[in-house]
Amino acid sequence: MVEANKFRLGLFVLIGVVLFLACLFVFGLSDMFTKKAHFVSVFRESVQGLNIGSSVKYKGVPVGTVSKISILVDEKLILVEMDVDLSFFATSKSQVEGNLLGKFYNFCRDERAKGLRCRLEYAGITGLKFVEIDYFAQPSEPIAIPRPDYLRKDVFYVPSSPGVFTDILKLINVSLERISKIDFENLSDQMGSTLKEMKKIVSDPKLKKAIDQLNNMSGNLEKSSESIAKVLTEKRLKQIFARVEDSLKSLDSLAKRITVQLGQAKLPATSTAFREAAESVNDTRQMLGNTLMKLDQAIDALTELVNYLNDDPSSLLKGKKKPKIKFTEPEKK
Amino acid sequence: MNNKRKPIVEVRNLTIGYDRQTVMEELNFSVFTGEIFVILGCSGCGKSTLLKHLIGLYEPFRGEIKIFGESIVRADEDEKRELMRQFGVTYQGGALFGSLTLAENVSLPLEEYTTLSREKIKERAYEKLALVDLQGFEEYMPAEISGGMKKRAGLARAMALDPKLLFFDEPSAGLDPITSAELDRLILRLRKELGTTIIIVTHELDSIFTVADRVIMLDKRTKSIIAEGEPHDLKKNSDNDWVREFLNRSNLKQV
Amino acid sequence: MSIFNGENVFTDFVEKIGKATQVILKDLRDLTLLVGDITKTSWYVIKHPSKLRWRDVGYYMDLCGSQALPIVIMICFLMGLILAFQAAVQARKFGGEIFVADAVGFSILKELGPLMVAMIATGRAGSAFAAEIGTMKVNEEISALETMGFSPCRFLVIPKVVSMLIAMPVLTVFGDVSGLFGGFVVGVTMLDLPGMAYYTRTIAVLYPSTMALGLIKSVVFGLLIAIVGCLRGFQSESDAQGVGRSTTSSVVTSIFLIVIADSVLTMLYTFLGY
Repeated sequence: MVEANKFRLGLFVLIGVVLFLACLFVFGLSDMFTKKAHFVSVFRESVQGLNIGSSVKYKGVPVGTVSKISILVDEKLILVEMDVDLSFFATSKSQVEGNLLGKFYNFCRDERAKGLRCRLEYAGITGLKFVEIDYFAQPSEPIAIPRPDYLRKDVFYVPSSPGVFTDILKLINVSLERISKIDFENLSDQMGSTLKEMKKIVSDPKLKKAIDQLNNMSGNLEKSSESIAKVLTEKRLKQIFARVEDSLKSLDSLAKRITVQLGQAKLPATSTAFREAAESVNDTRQMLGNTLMKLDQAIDALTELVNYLNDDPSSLLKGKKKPKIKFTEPEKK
Repeated sequence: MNNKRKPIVEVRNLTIGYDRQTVMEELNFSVFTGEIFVILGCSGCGKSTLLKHLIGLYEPFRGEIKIFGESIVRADEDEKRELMRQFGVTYQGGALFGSLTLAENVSLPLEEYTTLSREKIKERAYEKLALVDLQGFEEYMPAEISGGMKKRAGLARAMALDPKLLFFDEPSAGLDPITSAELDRLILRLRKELGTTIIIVTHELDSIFTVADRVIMLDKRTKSIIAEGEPHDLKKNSDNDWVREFLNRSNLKQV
Repeated sequence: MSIFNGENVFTDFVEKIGKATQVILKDLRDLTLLVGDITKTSWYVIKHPSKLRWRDVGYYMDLCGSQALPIVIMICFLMGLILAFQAAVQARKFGGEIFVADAVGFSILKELGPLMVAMIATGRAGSAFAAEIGTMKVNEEISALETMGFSPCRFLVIPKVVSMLIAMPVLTVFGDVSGLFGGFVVGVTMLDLPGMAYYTRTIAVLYPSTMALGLIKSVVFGLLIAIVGCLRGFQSESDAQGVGRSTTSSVVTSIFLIVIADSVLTMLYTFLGY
């Protein structure tokens, strides 16, 4: 019989099995013996670049990995689940025994109140991201996205804080889109014609005349009101009133008579024509007044625009009155 | 010939060949218990092919082969294996398993088919090897012994289960005349001592006249049995010239 | 054989295709028969474990496993070395030297470890199986087995298959470890990475499942090598040249099937999300 070298064969199989078990242990079965805390966060922004297995860092210390990424359909938010290894958190206190996980969660709860947030950060230039946990918010700052109420009870919710570079691309895109929508040619044409019109109106001699007349009129009005004031005393007023009353009475009778007569005559047509003529004069005056008022408004608005652009030229890109991004200084601890 | 004896191998209307090419057509013969039956013919006429059909390795085109009264042609795999176990075959080169010693080669069928203890099996294997004059070579590997010894070891293995029927494929091919003659004597002794029926395929005339009770001669051209009978009788009285020539040439050579 | 005096290239071409088709169909038929036989015999052997030729299993495991160990360790070590070297050249441009650990770890465990071991095993075991069975056929040992009422499948094929199924994953474990070590050597010496950093990175990116996937591959490869080796052996013509041809053919066919199986498995893994 051609026999196997039993010693060699046995050694081969034994060492192979031992190596296999060692590899399994080294590659991750050791995970089973480490205590893990489960963190959950919800992001409004895109998590592009974040993968399952991406690291989770606490102040730069890699303490865990991303275990699951899912989408909350109703709110259109991204749910990121993380496993955090407790062994990275050393404590000076001696009572580490007992419910380690519970104590850790208590610690985290306190820290969350102090502003503990997680934020997506870029890892180098590859476009990959990791989750950074740090004190990005002020202690009193409210939580932007509240904890979704259907999360599992045994996970710890860390609110997210918008990333430093969040939406920078989006902002530029929106601005560019807006700029591209502006019809500059048409706008300048319109402005040119408006200015021309305005010039014409301003330089119109009729306008000058009208203003002069207005001046005169107001002067006369002043004079007449003064003389009226001089003439009108109480006694005279009474007399006037008495006379007016008489006049009115006679007028009344006169009117009655006239009405009768008028009813026979063909006066109504004549009076209507007269009234219309008077109204048209009135309209013209009103229109002139309106025009002047609008011109005034237009000039105001232009001045305001020029001033605004002078102050903040970038608003041409960003649009008006967008709240500026606030940079909060991370609290050092 | 006593035709009333019970045939141990019966061949009826057998047509054989390989790859669609017919080698032999419409063969009919029987082998009777206790006989030494020789299948004779020139090289390439299909002797070995016929043997392989008889022992069930090849399937015939047509016809029937009965061994111990049971058809080996129509048997399914398990029945065939059962049937094969009842006869022994000795191949041209011995066909010993190269990875086993001679004793292990002989023990193999015993280990598989009997419930004997390990010691008993070894005892039996040594006994069979002694029967073919191979004492002292039990623990040799097949590669370490000569061609004649291999054939004898093969014979010992074929006889391990004490079969009633033995097939020999070219027992004396490639052996010197003395070794060949020794093998012939061994065959005769087996028949005498154990009463085994033996079927031999050969073209060695020396053996034929020494051992054969009855021969059939195969002819390539007619694809059939050209002669059947007792060799000495055929040599003298055959009505076929070619048969007489074939058998007598040995005489010339011997002289 | 061409009807146009052998001048017609087109007819020759069609004839060749016809012959090739015949050969492929015959191979497929033989393979199916062999696999069927193996399945049937395996079932029998599972029910009667004592009928398995355990000594043969040990012999083949020694031949294809422990004796192949030095070459496997050396080839895989060099493979890891080369891989790390190539990855280093690229990774250096981006300052990502540490990613060499990722590249070497994943490539060796998931792909190259099992593949290189399979190539070595094809050369050693597959050819040996084909030559052994081919020679046995020449010596009429196969016929002898059959006429002794033994199943050649149980005697010759099953021990080889079983031994390969055990030896291949074990060899692959050795290959994996030495390949990772090769990467480590380049990482530490050429890239000046701290050894601990490389080690930490390696075990951080690799999971037990990564290794298990590679080992599953190696089991499949082992099965293929054993089956193809035996198939070519049984198909061998009964002369010395025939045995030689069947040996060559077993190696070629094995490598071909291994590459196909590898692609299929890799696609399957991707499909299943590993």
